Amino acid sequence: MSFNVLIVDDSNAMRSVIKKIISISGFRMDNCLEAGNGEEALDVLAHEWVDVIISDINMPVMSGLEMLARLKKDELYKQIPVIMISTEGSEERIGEAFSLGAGGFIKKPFVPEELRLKLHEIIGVGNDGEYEDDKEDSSELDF
Amino acid sequence: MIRKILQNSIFEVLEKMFFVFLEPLEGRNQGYRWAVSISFSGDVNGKLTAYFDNEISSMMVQNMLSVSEIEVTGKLQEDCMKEAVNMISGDFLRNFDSSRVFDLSLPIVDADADGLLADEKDEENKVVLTFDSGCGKLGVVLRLS
Repeated sequence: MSFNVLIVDDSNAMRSVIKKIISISGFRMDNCLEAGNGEEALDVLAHEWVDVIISDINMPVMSGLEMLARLKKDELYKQIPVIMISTEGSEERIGEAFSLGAGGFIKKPFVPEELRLKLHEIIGVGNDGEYEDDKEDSSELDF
Repeated sequence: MIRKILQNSIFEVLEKMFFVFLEPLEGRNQGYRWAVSISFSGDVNGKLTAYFDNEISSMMVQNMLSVSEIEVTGKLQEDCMKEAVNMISGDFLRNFDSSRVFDLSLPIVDADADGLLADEKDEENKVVLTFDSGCGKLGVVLRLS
């Protein structure tokens, strides 16, 4: 089983880095979608389903926190886990992200392992890139 | 103390995200191509400006994105420099006082920065730092108000 990811960051370079980290971490990505700000991300979601969103906070047009607040008010989108990756690191700002419903918060600068572990924790993917659900299915077949 | 926190933030960002290792310098404030600025507001207001020469900017792109020198474009250089300044500011403010909330502006790039750092000197509420990476130069000016 593979998953769809939406990366939201106004930096093309940072989107490329995050995409590369996901790829080299062994996760099976079906579709990697990108958006330059929160508004673009909402447009993408109107046409595509994603399993996880990785988003910056400080972006033009619509910030990551505003996008997060809108997603969590929407019945369709509120179950999608959102990982915030941001330079915004004050205790209050991190608390605000979690109170709005963020599934994780990674402070920039970060090392690839931090993102890999957070994705593993949130979408339940094993170190070998195998979904935990798949493993359970496999063991059932063995019996 | 502010000088030390800022220097540590610069090292942290350049080493962790761009694999560029810096050596602090005295002087050498000429020859920069870009000035990238970001402002912050909160209990303390200020502005951080980082000065990059072409060599260090190109190396940052190559290291961050694993691309060759010929694949480096001006757009990618601007992108990486803005990201670096954003991260340095955020890391500095977090270490300066993580209990306070600061609002960061979006970074602005000035592509004609040669000579702009030449007259900058340490003052009260202003810190000037310069570095050499062996593959280019970086200068940083922090103003607090």
